[in-house]
This record gives sequence, structure tokens and C-alpha cells, in this order.
Amino acid sequence: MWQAGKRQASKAFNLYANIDILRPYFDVEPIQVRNRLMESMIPIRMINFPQKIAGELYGPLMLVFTMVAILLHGMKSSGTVIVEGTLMGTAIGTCFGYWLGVSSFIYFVAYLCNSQITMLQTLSLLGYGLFGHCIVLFITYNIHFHSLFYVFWLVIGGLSTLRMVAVLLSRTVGHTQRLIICGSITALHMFFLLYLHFAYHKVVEGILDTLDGQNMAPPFQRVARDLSLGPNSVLNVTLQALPAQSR
Amino acid sequence: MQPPGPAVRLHSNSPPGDFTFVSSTEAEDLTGSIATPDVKLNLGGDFTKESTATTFLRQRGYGWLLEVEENDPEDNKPLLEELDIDLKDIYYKIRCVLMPMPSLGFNRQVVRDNPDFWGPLAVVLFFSMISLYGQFRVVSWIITIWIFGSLTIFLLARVLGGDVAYGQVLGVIGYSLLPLIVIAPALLVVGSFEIVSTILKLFGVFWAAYSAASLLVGEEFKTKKPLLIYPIFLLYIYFLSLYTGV
Repeated sequence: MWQAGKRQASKAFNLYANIDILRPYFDVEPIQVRNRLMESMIPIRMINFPQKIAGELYGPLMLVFTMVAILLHGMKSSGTVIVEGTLMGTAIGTCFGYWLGVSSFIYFVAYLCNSQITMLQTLSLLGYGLFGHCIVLFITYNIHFHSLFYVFWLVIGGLSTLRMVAVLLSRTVGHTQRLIICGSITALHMFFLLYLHFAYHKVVEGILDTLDGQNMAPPFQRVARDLSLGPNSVLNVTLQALPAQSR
Repeated sequence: MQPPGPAVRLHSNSPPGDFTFVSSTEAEDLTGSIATPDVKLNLGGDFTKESTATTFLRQRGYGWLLEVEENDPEDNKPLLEELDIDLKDIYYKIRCVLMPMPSLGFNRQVVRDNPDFWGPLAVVLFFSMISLYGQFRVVSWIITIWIFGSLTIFLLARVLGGDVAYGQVLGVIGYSLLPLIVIAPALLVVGSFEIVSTILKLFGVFWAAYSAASLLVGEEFKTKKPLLIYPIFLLYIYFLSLYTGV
């Protein structure tokens, strides 16, 4: 009885202690979050001095949740059907997987390249980098223009990527190292946006194309191919036997 | 009946209250006897006619296996009372959530200050029932989102300086699904008009989020209110998204 009570009490205590551990990462003012969101779109060309990265997780977490909601909207409007699994699970898995997975990867690369960055800062940097993605996806899931997406992809996605690149540049020393870390984060970040757009948008594009009716690609057709009846004796025998059977 | 005699007795010339030992050789006969107490061993209930199995078990000392417990008077309470389900209370809370305007005169803080478990659970299960059509996996998702979404809100609320318990958050989030239940039949009717249904969905989510946020986001958050309102809003978007297709 005493043991059980003690365990209960220590568990409850641990829970509340853990909340206090979380506090510095989540306790922010709305105006701080707004400023950081703005700053995530403004690359600063100051690479001689390490730029500050706020180690805060409220903004990134909310951006990931927002992106889940936007992805769900995109999936619904494009009529995506996922055979094994659910839309909800896919959306949550994609967003959190990208955020946590790519952050860990970048942290690993940063470790190899000797960058001055902690895991917390990586999470925060990449999380705020998702703000551009959210804007682009939200607009282009609702307004279906191909060219609009590419412009947004380059401008807004590019700006948020540039911001991350600038921060990482300022915290890395050496040309090769800078090239490796910035190249990998740029490629991952930009292709993720492309993937998200086209993976859950294609169906609507297809419908639009068929509605236009002009630049519609001819559907795939089965075309009879010439069979070379040379050395393939089995095929020859079969081909000869078939008419005999049908008679 | 005499007590079984110890060789100790009150000596006549010693001060009262003192025991002294007397030698048992010169003492008078100190024997006594204990009357057999009238105790019946009742190991197996009073069966008048016992089967061989019963006798066998009883002989081996396993007669207690066949005992039947008498009914406790506590067991006769109605089930609703036993499970702490107060239907009147739940009905009042439902009305509080559905009409979140302060001008209507409901004491809305009851939903927050006096959390119960069964009302929200019933609401969440009902919501999953109406979402069930054609998608069985939705039930587990709705319950998962309810529990973990409430946990997230609870942690954020604590971290941002609020003072709520997890049970309260769970209750408020669960009850505030009611507006979504209300707009669900309307969505069926206007489903073919995309603009109308979008507006209706937005209205439902805002209604639910307003209802929950007005209860959970108290004055203690000061300027940080939007930081907690936003995740609550997102949570109801997820719920609605689960309704329209998991």
C-alpha cells in the first residue's frame, strides 16, 4: 500500500516536474512568435558572425500542426485515397517525420561539418522554415494554377530556405563544409515542398487537364508488338498448337 | 465456570492489588474446567441434502469453494449512481456548450470546474458513431486525437502559466465536440454546394473552438491567449477532418 502510494505520488510529481522542464521551450509571447515568423522569411546576409537562433519549440510545433491541417485539406480536395492507412495518419506522419527526421539529419551533418548548432536550434530553425511551406501549400491547394505554384515555390519557399542557409552559413567554417550542409538542407527543403504539392494535388491537376481538353495526353494503349519467332522454340510450338486447339 | 487456575491468587494479608506466589503443594485443589463453547463450524452453508462432491470437498477442507456470498446492500444501488453518471448535470453542461453566448445566463464555468468523465466520453463516442459511415478506423482515431490532443492542450496550458487539470481539459474538449455534431446533418444536406458547405464547416469549427476556448482560456493567460486558442482551433479542424473522411 505504502509502496503503491509512493509510486503514484512520485509519478504525479514527475509529471509536474516534467512540465516545468518544458516551460522554457514553450513559454513565449505572441509578439515574439509573430516576429520570428516574419524573420523566417527574411534572409540576412551576415555570415561573418554567428546569427542567433531562438531555442523555442512553440512556433515550430504549431507550424507542424498547421501543416498537418493544410495537408489534410489538400488530400480531401484532391480526393486522395490511401489504401493501407489513413489520411490523418499519413499527414501527421509526413509532417512530424519530416520535421524530426530532417532535423536529426541536419544535426548529424552539422556535427560532421563542425557547425555550431544544437539539436534544439536545429528543430527550431527547420520548424520556422516550414512557415513558407505552409503559406505556399495553403494558397496552391485552393488556387490551382501550375505557374502560380512554381512562382511561389521559388519565391516563398526559396526565401525561407535562404534564411536557413544564411543562418547555417554564419555558423559553419570552411567552404566544403558550408557547401555540404547548405546543399543538403536546400535540396531536402525544396524537394519536400514539391513533393507535398504534387503528391496531393495531382488528381485535381488531372481533372483540370481533362476539362481543358486540348493538351490532353493520349491515353496509354496496348500495341501489338512483333514477336520474333526465331530461337524461341517453346513459343513457336505454343503458337502452332493454339489454332489447332481452337478448331 | 471457573477460570483455568494459574498458581497465582490474591493473598489475604498482602495489600489489595498485589499478586504473590503460593506454593502449590499446600494449596487446596486448584483444578477447574472449561465448559465447551456452543460453536458450530459452518464451512459450507446449510445444505440439507449434499452431493458427494460437496461432502468430498468439505472433508478435504475446500468447502469454502462452494460458499455463496450474501448480497451487499451497496450492490443494490442503481447503475447510474454507481458509475457517478448524473444525467441532469450532463444535460445542463450540454446546453452550456451549445449556447456559448454569455448573455444567455448559463453558469458555464460548471463545465470547467466540475469535470465529469462520462458526458465527454458519450459525446465523443456519439461523434464517432455519426462519422462511422464507411470508415471503421475513424473511432480509434477520434478517441486518440481526443486524448492526445487534450494532453497537448493541457501541457501547453500549464506551460503558458494556466492552472487546469488534465481531467478538466479532457471534459471541455469532449463536450465542445457538440457543435460539430450539430452541423454534421446540415453538411449532409448542403453537401453538393461546395461554398456553402465550406462556410458551414468553418462556422462549426469556430463555434466549437469558441466554446472550448472561452472555458479553457481564462484571464490568467493575459497576452498569451492567442497561443492557446490557436491549437484548440486546430484540434477541431482535425476532428472535422476525421468526420469528412479519416
